[in-house]
Amino acid sequence: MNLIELRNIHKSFEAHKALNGVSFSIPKGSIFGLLGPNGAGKTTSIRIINQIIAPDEGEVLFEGRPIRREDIQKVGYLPEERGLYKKMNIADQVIYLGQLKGLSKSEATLRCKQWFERFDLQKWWNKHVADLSKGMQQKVQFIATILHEPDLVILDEPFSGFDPVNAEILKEEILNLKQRGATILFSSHRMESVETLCDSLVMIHQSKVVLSGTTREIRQAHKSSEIELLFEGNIPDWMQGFSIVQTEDGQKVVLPMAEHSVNEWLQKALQSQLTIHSCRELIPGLNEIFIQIVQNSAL
Amino acid sequence: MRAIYLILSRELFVRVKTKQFWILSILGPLLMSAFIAVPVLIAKMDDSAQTIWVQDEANLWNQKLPSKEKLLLIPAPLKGQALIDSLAQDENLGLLTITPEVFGKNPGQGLKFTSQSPLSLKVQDYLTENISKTVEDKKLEENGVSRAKLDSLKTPEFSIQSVKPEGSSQSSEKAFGLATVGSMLMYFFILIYGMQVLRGVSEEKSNRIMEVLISSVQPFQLMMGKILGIAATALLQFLIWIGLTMIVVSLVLPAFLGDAVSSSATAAPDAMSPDALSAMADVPGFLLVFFFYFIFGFLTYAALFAAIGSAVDQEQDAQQLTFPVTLPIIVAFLLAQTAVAQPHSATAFWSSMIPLTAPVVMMARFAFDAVAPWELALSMVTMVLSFVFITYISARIYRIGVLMYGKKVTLKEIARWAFKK
Repeated sequence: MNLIELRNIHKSFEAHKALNGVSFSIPKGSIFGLLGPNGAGKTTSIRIINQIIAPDEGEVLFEGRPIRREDIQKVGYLPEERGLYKKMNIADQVIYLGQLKGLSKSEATLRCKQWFERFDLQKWWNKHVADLSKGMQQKVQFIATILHEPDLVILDEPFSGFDPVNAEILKEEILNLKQRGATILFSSHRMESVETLCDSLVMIHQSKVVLSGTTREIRQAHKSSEIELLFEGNIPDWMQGFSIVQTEDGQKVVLPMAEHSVNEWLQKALQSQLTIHSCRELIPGLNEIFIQIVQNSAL
Repeated sequence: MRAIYLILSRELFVRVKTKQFWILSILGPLLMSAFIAVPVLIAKMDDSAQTIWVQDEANLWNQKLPSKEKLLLIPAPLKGQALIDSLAQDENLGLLTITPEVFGKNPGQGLKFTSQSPLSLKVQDYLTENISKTVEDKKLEENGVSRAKLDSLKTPEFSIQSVKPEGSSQSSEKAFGLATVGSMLMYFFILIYGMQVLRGVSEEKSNRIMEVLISSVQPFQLMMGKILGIAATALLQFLIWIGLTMIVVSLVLPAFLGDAVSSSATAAPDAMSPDALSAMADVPGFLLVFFFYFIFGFLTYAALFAAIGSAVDQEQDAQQLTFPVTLPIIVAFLLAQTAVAQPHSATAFWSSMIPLTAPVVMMARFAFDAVAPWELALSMVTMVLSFVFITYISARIYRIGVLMYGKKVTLKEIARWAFKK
């Protein structure tokens, strides 16, 4: 079951085509990555899901039916550029934003208290934004995003500006949200920052989808069919012709799987009396896959 | 509706909680009261006794110098250098020299006051009035006419009584005060609070909370909530002003100044007197009309200010763009001045029909009872229609403007946003 489905979305701003027939589906309860370089069309896609702007063409489905205005209350959005009111105390802002998403005042206040305790922010309840460190501001914004327990949480570049400790806390909370049944949409231009978290993803480049699927599928599909062997010992004859690199940990060689399987290569190595430190199939990171795709499309 | 209500309350409470709101609420009526109280107080303080030496070379007063309470006129006891020395030493001392030119065509040439400090206005008024009368008397005597005879021939001062066809009387002084205060308050509130709308919108944009807000509510709701919230703030402030002014006028001023207020009320500029403000409550319909024009005038202007605010990243960038919006309101204020002078003129009529100038000008015309019911009705209908139209246009600009960052927007572009499909 898909929570959100984009079907053939087109959107232009003046002469600029921001989205050109973009389609993708976000499975319910998953962590979904919306990846691509700056200017690819990520924010436009998010704004369309948020109903901030309407597509010129195509449709957005929510739980299988066309999205409606009131579905906005089931979405929580943390934009890349974050901000809060300067002249309002932070608890009031969080409660206010929760109310705008449909919570009653008492419910919003109660939940706000719980979250402030959880993030150890109680003593900042009555403070203004200017009194908070950047990390604390980020926490407050995160609370405001999820206070109404949305079905879909959209996080645009969630880790930018977080120090490692807070980034870890955020990751934990995101996994908690997933466990509770929420669907999470990550948007980032830094592929490696989200690749370990995402169940599936879509990659946008120049207003078009260039890649989509589960993270595992994608990496499998783009593996180079090579193994990397790290070993010590005398280089056997059969290894002549491959480039061998001397590293601190030993010698490294890349062997093609077209000729032999991993097991066969290992057998050969053992027969040659080599000490094997490691042997792994080379699977590229999302970054490499992306660069590969962009280069191919440029050709 | 709930969203608009939530936004409205936030705008209202955030503003009412600030110190500025209460300072302005309290200072407003105090400043108004000060306009009347300060001249009175100054006049009171000026009341110390004064002595003036007189050298009556023209024999104007025949040795009978017109001294009065707190003003002693005596013949100069010294002459020559000794006189000049004592004038130079004592700054409270003055010498009035009267020469025969006082009977000439320009009596001022026959009068000279020598002192370290200039003659106070009050004493000056008293002396010129007295001298002019004495000169007149002398001339009458020379021509064989007595003062009593002349007085009996003269027509007393009079004014024309204004009455309505039904017979009730009306005072044009009161109308003048009401017209001036009404149009000024309208101008003041629309401009000050309109700018607050602009500031509020561009603040939400520059601190980047906008994107979160418009992913929760529709841009139109956000804009209306803000405008209505600020309108509520302005109305609240206005009511506080009226209330406080009434308290000040009816309780504080009389206790503080005694009967000086009533005696010098004519000396203070009529238009600014708190009497005029409290008179609003007396004139039937005025407050209602004021509130109507305030609400629709403010909403119309506020929508324009909101549209401008949405188009800029920072409040500072708004300067040039605000001009086309502030210009009509300033023009309206100037037109209101002519409407006060001639409430029935064509200029007054048309400017009270055009929605952008009507709120301010109508106050002036209505105070003079110069508006026929059909005119009022027509003007009110155009106000409501223009409010709907301008809000619609502004909402279109706003919707696009709030998402636009990092680009200096021109008026031409704004116009394109308003009218593109």
